Amino acid sequence: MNCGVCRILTNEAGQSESLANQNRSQLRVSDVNMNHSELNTPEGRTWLAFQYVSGELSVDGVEAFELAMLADASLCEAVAEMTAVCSAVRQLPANTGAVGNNTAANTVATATQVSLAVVTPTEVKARKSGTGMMLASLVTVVCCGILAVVVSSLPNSTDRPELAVSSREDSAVEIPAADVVAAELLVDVWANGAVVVVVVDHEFDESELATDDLEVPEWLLAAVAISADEQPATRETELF
Amino acid sequence: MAHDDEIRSLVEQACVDFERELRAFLLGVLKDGHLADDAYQKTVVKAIEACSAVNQDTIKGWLFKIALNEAREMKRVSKRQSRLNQAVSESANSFSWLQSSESVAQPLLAATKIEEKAIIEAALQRLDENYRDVVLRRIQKGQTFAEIAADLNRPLGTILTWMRRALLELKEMDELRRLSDFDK
Repeated sequence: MNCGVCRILTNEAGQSESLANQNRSQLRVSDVNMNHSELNTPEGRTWLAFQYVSGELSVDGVEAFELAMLADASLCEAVAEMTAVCSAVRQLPANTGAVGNNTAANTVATATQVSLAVVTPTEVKARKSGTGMMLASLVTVVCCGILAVVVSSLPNSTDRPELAVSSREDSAVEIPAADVVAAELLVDVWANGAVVVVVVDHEFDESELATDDLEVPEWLLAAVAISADEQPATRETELF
Repeated sequence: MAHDDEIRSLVEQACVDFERELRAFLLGVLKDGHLADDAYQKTVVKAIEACSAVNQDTIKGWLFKIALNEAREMKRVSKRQSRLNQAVSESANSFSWLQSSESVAQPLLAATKIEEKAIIEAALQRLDENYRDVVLRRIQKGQTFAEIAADLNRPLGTILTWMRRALLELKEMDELRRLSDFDK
């Protein structure tokens, strides 16, 4: 490596150190110690290339570095690489990386707030509906309990026959006398032998009407005799 | 004669193969896209003119040297032009638009491909968070290292160390290596 170049870089480093002592807040990369070893290591070459590309080197430093590039093509490649990296980083969205992470976190937080804002009314509604359901269930249970108590407390007619007799007597009072007679007659008939008129589809069998062991009233026999003498109307005749 | 044609085609092919790196290098030297384009064209012409002197094994470095010489010459011309413009500006108090300082201050390579940006962004994401923060603050936001150190409440030396390590890691990352090979 050109020793003149190294001397320039070293001198620049010394000047930079004094400058750093004077005003540390205005330090630039060129203020950092730049010695001979920087050009002999890949890291140092990369670092110098970055300084060169980003304009951090002084005029003398730039001249020295360009002379070094003429002697070593790998420095040129390092400059090309750093140029590509820097240009790409510059063109990346401003919220890339650490800032991007913060932005992403903020976005997530905002989205969470928004989703909360969206979800909250639903949750409130759900809670309200849930509370209503519980209240309705409670009211239902209470009502059922009250109903059960009331029903169990009601008097049972079988347990209190006097009430049943009383009601039966009340209803008997209301029944007309003719109806009462008819009812008694029916009760007697049923008590002496049940006559059930059943409409059946199969052919009538007279043997089924054998009533030898039954005492049939005369009025009933007369009625049957009248019906037998007359031509009974067929079903079709009745209908038409 | 046939050998000369062969060498010439070899140099032309090398100019095509290393175009991306040469352009990036010229941009890094000149810090102006238009000047870099001009310098690349001049580099190709010079390389073809001097193709008889090329060594096939060192053709890439040879192209870089030609490019650097062209860029240095353009910088000298630009500097002279800038001084001339400044003198005219001071005398006439106008023509400030002629000053090349604006073009020198232009952002670096504005034509980075989308896929390249994606690759570099992915590479950045792989960096340590502190390293990435320093890289973005310095390169993207343009903060000085002193400002970064003040913002992050860290010693200046720590910030510089992080930056150096970040650049080295970026340089060594496979993504960026593939990116370099992508255009070849």
